[in-house]
Amino acid sequence: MTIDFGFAEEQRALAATARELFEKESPPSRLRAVWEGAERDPRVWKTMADVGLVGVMIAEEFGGMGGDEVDMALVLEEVGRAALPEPLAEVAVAARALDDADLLRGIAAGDVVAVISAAELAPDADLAQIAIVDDIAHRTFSAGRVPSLDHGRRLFRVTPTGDGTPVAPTGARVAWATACVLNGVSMRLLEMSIEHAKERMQFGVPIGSFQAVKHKLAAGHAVLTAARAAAHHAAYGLAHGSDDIAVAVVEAVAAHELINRDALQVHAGIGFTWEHDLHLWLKRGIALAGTLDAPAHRARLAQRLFEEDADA
Amino acid sequence: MDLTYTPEQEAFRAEVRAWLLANVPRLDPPDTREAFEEHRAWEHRLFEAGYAGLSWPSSYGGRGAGVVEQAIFDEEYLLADGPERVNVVGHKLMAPTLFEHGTEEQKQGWLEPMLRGDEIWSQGFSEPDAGSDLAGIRCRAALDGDEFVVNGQKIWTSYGAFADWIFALVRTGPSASRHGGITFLAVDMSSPGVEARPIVQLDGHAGFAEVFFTDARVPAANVIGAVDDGWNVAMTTLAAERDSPARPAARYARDLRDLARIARARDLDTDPVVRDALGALAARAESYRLVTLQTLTQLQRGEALGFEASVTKLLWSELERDIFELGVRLLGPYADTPGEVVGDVTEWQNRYWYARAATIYAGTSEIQRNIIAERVLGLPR
Repeated sequence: MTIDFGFAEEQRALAATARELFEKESPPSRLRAVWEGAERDPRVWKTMADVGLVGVMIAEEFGGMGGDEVDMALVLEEVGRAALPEPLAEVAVAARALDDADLLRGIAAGDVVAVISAAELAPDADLAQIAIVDDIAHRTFSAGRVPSLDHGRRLFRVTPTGDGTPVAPTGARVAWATACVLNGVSMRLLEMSIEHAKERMQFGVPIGSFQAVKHKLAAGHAVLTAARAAAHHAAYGLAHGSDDIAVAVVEAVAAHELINRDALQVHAGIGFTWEHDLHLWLKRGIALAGTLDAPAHRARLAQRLFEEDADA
Repeated sequence: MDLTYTPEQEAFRAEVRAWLLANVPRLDPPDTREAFEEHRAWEHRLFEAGYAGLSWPSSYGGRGAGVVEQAIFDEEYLLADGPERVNVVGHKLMAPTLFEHGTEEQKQGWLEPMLRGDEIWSQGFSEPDAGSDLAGIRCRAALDGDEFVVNGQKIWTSYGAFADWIFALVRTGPSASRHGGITFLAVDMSSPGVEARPIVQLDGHAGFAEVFFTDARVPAANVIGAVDDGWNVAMTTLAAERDSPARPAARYARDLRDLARIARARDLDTDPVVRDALGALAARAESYRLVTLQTLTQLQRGEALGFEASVTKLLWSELERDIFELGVRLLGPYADTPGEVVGDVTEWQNRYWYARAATIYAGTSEIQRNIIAERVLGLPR
């Protein structure tokens, strides 16, 4: 079928597998434990690798699934929906940039962790054997922990201590993957808000029956639909040689800003407590959206508009 | 996922582009009978050239091509700056409704004359007291032998002043039954007892009309779907109206290029605030285009347009409004005398006010949000 902008059955099935696994292995209670400082459980990472999630974009000859960004897009949304502590998105993108057979085998099997330093920081770099900094892969580096507001991830400043090997450019893929994960965070925030609006009673009725509440959630759903379409399209582009991710970034951030604001507003008092899980996703979203530098991408799109107009 | 066009589709695009370049006329707005008839002649011309009903089966006068070909044509038509399509209500609303709910005889009787431009259609849904609350309609139809006798009023009827047919929602059961007791009826506007009065819009155009029915007699065979089941039939019409097939995304790319031109003319093209706003709108225009590709995918798979059509409507209408609102801000002191910046004042004013209407017609943004909240997100009514 031509102009088929939808996912295949297998791609949806893979995302469903990821969702089930994350719900089982990384429920909100585990995320809370991570917030309290729990160590990484290597078994969880190994489990993700065993079902193939780490190696979706690694060639079959190296133990991966041989897929591309389109296969990975829905999985990345699940990473965001679960606010997964593990750097699955970053490792998957790092693997896409590497061509060393042994490394790729190790990554697909879950034995090697390769991370990318983006916006000057890399998650879980203390557990990584490979760190990509400025598109150079390093095997020797130091990793200094940087405190972050989102305690659900562990961030490090990576300083290479030896020579590295240049790899394929990673910037566009990191931004795209982050946009996908951010969309997943937005999806979860919207889901939580919808549930809350159905259950929370005021004036004798669920607050979700009020148009003032309905309209916020409906608006969030609409912009998120557009943002996901943009990220899915960027996935198709990356899989076919285009690294144009500006629209995916701008739309993911725009949708998230609206949904982040309204999710707390709809939850109101209970959402402002430490006890409620909402803030775990609010903070992950703010952290991810910030790294995307949407204003720079908006400026890029405007520049393109002026250039098109000059050409016309 | 495959976003490539086939060589045949690329060839079709080239053929359409060349034909439009050679044939697109410049017509006055269809505000007078004379201008309207010129538009009708153009519709006939499109039919003769094989560009009407591209995705319809040839047995109904169509070309038997796919929805992708239709989308390609709509995009090229827009880029060629073709005249507004005075039978858009027929092609994009009545036809999908007939394909879904019409009898074979109705399809045979109405579709080809529609494509030929012989019969121009209008839509009779809204009434003075039934706008957003569409189920509150009061226009009545009472069965008398094998005819319905229709009495009441419709309003905001696009092309109503000159159209040949109107499809109307009429009450055939008690008002208390709300969504029940409504029937979807096609009425020949030349019937005795049907009178259309033009309404002048705030931009000066006679764009729509109010239509009065006084003991108008309509054959019972003109009911689409079952008597008293018209609400169900209208859902198909409304989904078609809200969704993207009616709204090629290419128009927004063009509108944005015009904004860039205005910004340049006003020496605002290096202003970072202006650039930020333009970049945000460019992203929204592109993501809207991608949502239309999702719809195209659904249509190709034979899936019906559901309540998600309200998402599409919300996206395009608010995008369109925001583009033109930024346009007016960019014009600044020239907002009242835009000719010095945009050239054709009439054209600019038409597009600006049409954009302001976008969040109202085909169901207001507020109604779309209600539908999304209740039908898609499952929030309580």
